[in-house]
This record gives sequence, C-alpha cells and structure tokens, in this order.
Amino acid sequence: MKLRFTYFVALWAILLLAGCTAGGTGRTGSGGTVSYGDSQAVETVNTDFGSTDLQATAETMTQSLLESRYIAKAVQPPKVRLRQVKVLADEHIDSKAITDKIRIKLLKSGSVRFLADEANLSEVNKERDFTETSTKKTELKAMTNSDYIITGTVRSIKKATKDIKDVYYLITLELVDPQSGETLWADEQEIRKVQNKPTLGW
Amino acid sequence: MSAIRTVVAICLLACICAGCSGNQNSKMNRTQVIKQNKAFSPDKVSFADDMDVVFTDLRTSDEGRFFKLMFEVMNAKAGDINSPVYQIEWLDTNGYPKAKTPWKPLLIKGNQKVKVVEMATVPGVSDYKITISRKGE
Repeated sequence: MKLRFTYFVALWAILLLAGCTAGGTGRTGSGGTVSYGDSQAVETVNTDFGSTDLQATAETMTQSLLESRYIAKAVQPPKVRLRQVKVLADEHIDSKAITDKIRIKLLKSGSVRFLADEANLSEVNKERDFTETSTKKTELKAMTNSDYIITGTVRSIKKATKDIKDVYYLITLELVDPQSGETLWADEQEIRKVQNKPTLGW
Repeated sequence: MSAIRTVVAICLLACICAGCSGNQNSKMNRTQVIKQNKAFSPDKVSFADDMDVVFTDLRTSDEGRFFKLMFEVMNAKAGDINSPVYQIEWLDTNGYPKAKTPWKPLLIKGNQKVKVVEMATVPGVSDYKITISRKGE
C-alpha cells in the first residue's frame, strides 16, 4: 500500500514537471500574469514622474525647439551639446532619459547635429587615444566646438493630506550660446498629478 | 407659518429647476455628438462614438519642413470633466506611417473647448490620423 502511494506521488511529480517544461513555439517562461503593454500608453500607476510624463515632455520640448528661429532658420544644422538637466525634485528622476529622448527626436528631424556630451565624451577620448597609440595616424583633428548647449531643470512641489496627494512638476529647458552666455530659447512643461487615496480599502 | 414654508419650498424647487434647465439647454444630445463627429473623415479622426467629445475644428499647415496640426475638441457634457487621451500618427505621401506621438491626456471641463497644437518632428510628413480614446482602451 505504501509502495503504491509512493508510485502515485512520483507519477504526479513527473506530470507536473512535464507541464511546466512544455512551452509554446518561440516562447519561454511559464504562464502567470506577465504580458506586453503599449509603451506609448498613458500610465498613471502613481503620482511619480512616469513614462507618459517623459514622453510628453520630450515631444513638447522638441516641437518647441524645432520652431525656434535658432534651429528653424539656421542655414546649416547647428552643433549642440547636451549639458546636465538638474533635478531639484525630492524624488529620483532620470534627467538623462529626458535629454536622450529629446536628442533622438532632434536627430531624427535632421535639423540639429549633436556633439559628444559628458556621458560619452570619455569614450570618445579613449578612442582618440587608441587611434593615436595603435594606428599610423599620429595627428588627430581637433574636436569641434558647439554652437549651442542645452541645459535645464526639473522641479516638483508636493502636497498631501490623508485623502489626497498632489504633485506638480515643472520641467524647463534652455538653449544657450556658450560664446556669449546668452539664453536664446527656453520653454517649460508643467504637469500636475492628483491621487485620491481610497477611504475604504484593503 | 405653513403658507410661508410652502412658498419657500416652491421658491427652492423653482431655483433648482432653473439651474437644471440651464444645463440641459447647453448640453448636446448623443445623436448630435455622433453626427457632428462623423462629419470628419474616419481616415483622419477615429474615436469612440459614446465619448461625448466633439471635434469642432481641424487645421493643418507647414512649419518649415514640418507638418503642423491644430484641432479643437469640446466636452459635450454640461458639468462633468472629460479626460480622453489622444494619439497622432504622422503619415507620408504614400500613407506609410513615419512617426507617432505618445498617447497624451486631455482635460476638458463641461461645455468647454480645448485647442491642441501638434507638430511632426520628422520631415516628409504630409498626412495624419488622430485617435481619441479613453485611458486604458
């Protein structure tokens, strides 16, 4: 009787394992609740700075910058270097994600040329050093200077009671002439998010 | 005393009815909303019929090498705030999609109109399609 029970348990274990390993063609992993979502969809999981805020900010700023006369009326696409966007909010916001998205959109527009920024300048210098030391090319061209730089800030104001949470974000970007220090273009994106906390819940 | 109470009650009822009738007059009915929205080509504008959002204006222009679009939408409801989301697909001369905007939220108060201006950030766009939906649909 005991032996029969052991056989029974072993058979069930085999069947369970077989079920787990049988995946569909071209698919791995078990079932569960994971699924693909629309990367462009409006996301309001909470009041934190999210993907919709990032995408909308990049879109609005790019449109505004392309309309500015320093870009729109330029004879040659100006050379631009991205500088730091300071985050003056009390939550972590990846400001590089904002500038990277704007850079990609501006590059796709064909109206702007971008120079290496702080994030990839060290890699560019490494490549130049490698070229100088490991190839026959001993003299390198000097790097070009930028016509404009882009800087900015991200600020937030948060207010909350036990029933409601209100967050206001202000994202500003500026186009500055590094020779004269003159700010030639600036724009802002305001975002307000309100979260009502449920009075009854788990 | 009872007569005064009756008069006060009638006055209050009249005030409430007057307030309601004001809203009803300015509220568009569902058939009107659907009819007005169908006036816009479904190739250009796509939306759920029962959204109570009415397209009232649609204009296009060129901003240098870039295609620019302005549309105006109205909340056909009298009192409620309507919060639809919209997305614009930018198409080239052959109708191929060149780019699209992310879904963006709109906030329209009762009976109010909102103007939206969008510009394609890639050159070579000559046509568009606007989709208006509810969040999560």
